[in-house]
Amino acid sequence: MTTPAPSPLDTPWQTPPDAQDLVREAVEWHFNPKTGSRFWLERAKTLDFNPLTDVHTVEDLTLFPNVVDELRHIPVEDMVPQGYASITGITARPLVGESGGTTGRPKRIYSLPDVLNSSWRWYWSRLREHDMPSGRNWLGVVPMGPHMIGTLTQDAAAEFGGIYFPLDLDPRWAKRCIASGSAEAVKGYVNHLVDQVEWILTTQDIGLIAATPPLLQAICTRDHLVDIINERVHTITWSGASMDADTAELMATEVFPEVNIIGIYGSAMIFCGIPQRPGGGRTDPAIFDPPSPFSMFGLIDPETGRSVPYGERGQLVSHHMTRNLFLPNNLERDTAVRHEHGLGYAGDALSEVRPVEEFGAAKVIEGVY
Amino acid sequence: MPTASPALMELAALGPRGPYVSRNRQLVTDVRGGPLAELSLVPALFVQRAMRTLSTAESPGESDREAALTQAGPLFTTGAVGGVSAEEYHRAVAAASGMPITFVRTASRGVGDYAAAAFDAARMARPVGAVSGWRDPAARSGAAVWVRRGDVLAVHAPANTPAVHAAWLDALALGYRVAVRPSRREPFTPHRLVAALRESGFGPDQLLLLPTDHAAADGIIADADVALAFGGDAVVGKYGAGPMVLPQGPGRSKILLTSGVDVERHLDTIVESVADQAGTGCVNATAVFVEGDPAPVAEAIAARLADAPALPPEDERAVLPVRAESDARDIDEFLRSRRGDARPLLGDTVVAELGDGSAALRPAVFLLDRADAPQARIELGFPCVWVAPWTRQDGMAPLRDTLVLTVLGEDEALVDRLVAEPSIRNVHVGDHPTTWSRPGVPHDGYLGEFLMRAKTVIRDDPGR
Repeated sequence: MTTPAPSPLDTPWQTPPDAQDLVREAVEWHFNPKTGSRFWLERAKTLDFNPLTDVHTVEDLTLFPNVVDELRHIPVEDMVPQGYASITGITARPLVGESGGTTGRPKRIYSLPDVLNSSWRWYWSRLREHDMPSGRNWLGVVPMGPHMIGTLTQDAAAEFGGIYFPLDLDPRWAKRCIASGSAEAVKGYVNHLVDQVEWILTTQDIGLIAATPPLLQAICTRDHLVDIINERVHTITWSGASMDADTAELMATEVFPEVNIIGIYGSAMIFCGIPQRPGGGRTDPAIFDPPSPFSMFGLIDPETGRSVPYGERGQLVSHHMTRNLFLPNNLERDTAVRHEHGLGYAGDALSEVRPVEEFGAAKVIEGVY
Repeated sequence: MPTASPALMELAALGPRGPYVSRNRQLVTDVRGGPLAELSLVPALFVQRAMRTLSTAESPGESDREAALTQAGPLFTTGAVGGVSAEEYHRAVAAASGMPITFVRTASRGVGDYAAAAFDAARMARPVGAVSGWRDPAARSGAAVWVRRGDVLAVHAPANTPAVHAAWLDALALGYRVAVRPSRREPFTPHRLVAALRESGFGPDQLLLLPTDHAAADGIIADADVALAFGGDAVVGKYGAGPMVLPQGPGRSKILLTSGVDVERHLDTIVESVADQAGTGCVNATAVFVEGDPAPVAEAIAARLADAPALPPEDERAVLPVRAESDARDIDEFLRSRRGDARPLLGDTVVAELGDGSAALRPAVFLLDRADAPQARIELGFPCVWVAPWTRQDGMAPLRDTLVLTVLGEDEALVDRLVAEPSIRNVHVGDHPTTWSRPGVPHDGYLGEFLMRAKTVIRDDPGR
């Protein structure tokens, strides 16, 4: 008697299955009335196609509407596939995570240990390609709370054998201060955070820092902190927001010329953190290869829906398929430059992420200036 | 075969380590939409680090500042700066801003002349009771010493005319280190001026050109000690309350003709006030108040401005500003939506298409029927003037909020009141257009009143 091959849904992310096999299995799991979630089974009734019979390929994922806005209000229980009831060995309750909350109320997702472990292990394996030291302490200048980056970083510190020094950081409050136009409030909050960074950096032996780009920049306003980092810190990872190529180059050449700097791209909607492709020069823009086919990117011309040529900027579409979640065809607010996937997997890699430019500002006509 | 397009000018940021070319570059176009230059925009981290260099630097001594300014003036006006001749620079400004080239030459010569005179001009603001340094013998018996309120000045510069860049030269003369954020529409003038000043002796840790997008722009002001911010009422509203930012808001300059004045005799002064420099400045008159019947005055102005030809800005005969056609239409539409019951004597439409994607803005002369008509406060960057009646009963109210007021007529009691009125910042009596100025007289108060203060120093007499 032979053991059946594991489902593509249960394959470790480091040894990915064929994309088409994963699409078939994911659709079968999420839309079978016995295993699918209440959310998708209900939502399927409103579709003008039958996912079980009409969706076979990665291309077919674009048949789906973008449902991520519905994640702002649906109960988490309704997102969990009912098939989990018959899977033994998973006793944990869903771990809730949320999006940043830039575009209104946050979008809410969840994870169970099967997928969380797959994603985290993949993250660690990609970090190991980056000369990451073991046994050094980590300072996490990244949000905890509902933001998965905090948990991901904390767990990475443990995996790499370091003590984790977390920080309370509320990016939504910072965004609210910015939106209210109160420069003083923003400055006050940022100073409050950098003070906390300072207390840790000046008293603890920190070897790695995980930070958001704005806070990394705020840390750079204090010369003595820059000196401490240059003396003692081996690696900085940045994540949680984009860092433009000019800033990244200044960081790598002028501010922290000796520090190993690694960009991380991630979001709740793809449930993973993606370390930048290893091997690039210090001043080259970071390129991110997603864990295809579990999370895939496309960079498209939003007018035509077609991919832009490699090397050109397009709007980001993501597909995310695991046993936990089915979030296909999510057109993001970000644009990025399209690259071939570095490992030859399905979908695109991306670099130089930035928000879609907004043209909503009122024209200023009056006056001579 | 397509003709090769001329090479784009490269406008680097001028940072503390010299020119900085970023990946994030903005295309600067001419008024026809054609490419002119690539401007490097610096990220916030660059701003942050550059501003720290400025704040920790030491200013050169007085004689070095004087020498550098004196040398930079003629270099800016006529020299080759960074390999760019004066004429190339003038053409770039005309093409990008749409200001007629002859006015560009005059305005930029004004900036060069101001630079050469700035060292002495800046000292005109010093209180008569103050000495310029604590080593002055007067301090032995106790004296006021004129000192800086800070060390670093930030400037958010506009694009309307090169002339605005004379505004911050006093600061260099007084020993401030200066960071200029240029307008992305016309970065040529500040780039040339900063480069000329650097070539003449100001170190890269004294004077920066930091082109940025909006997001990074606030950092320049936040990291400076004091700042000059040009803009409309919104900018004044944003910074007006703080003591460290001096907003340079709308000019709303005006002319007042008192009873019995012969308009024909003063028409040159009036028309020059409205239309000199193509009406691009805050010192150009936007309203004319007439004690008596305003209609003949409006008609006389309209008659003089009616024949101004619509020409590309590079044309030697051009006198009107040119904009991208769509921008010109927006301005026209704005004027239509706001002119209300004003009677257009000229400028029913102000758009004069040039057929190449750009349009000249024709002069507009409107007649109002009362002194307190709100239209009289509308200021636009081309010759556009509101002519209204004024009586003694109307009083000061319609004349307030004025950068320059030229009063025509002989009424000393009225002049007393105009000079005393705090919201009228300059008064020209007689045939002196609102656009008149020279180094050494204040523009909107002396900049030195904002940059400097007096403090008491008394010290022992080393001789005793």
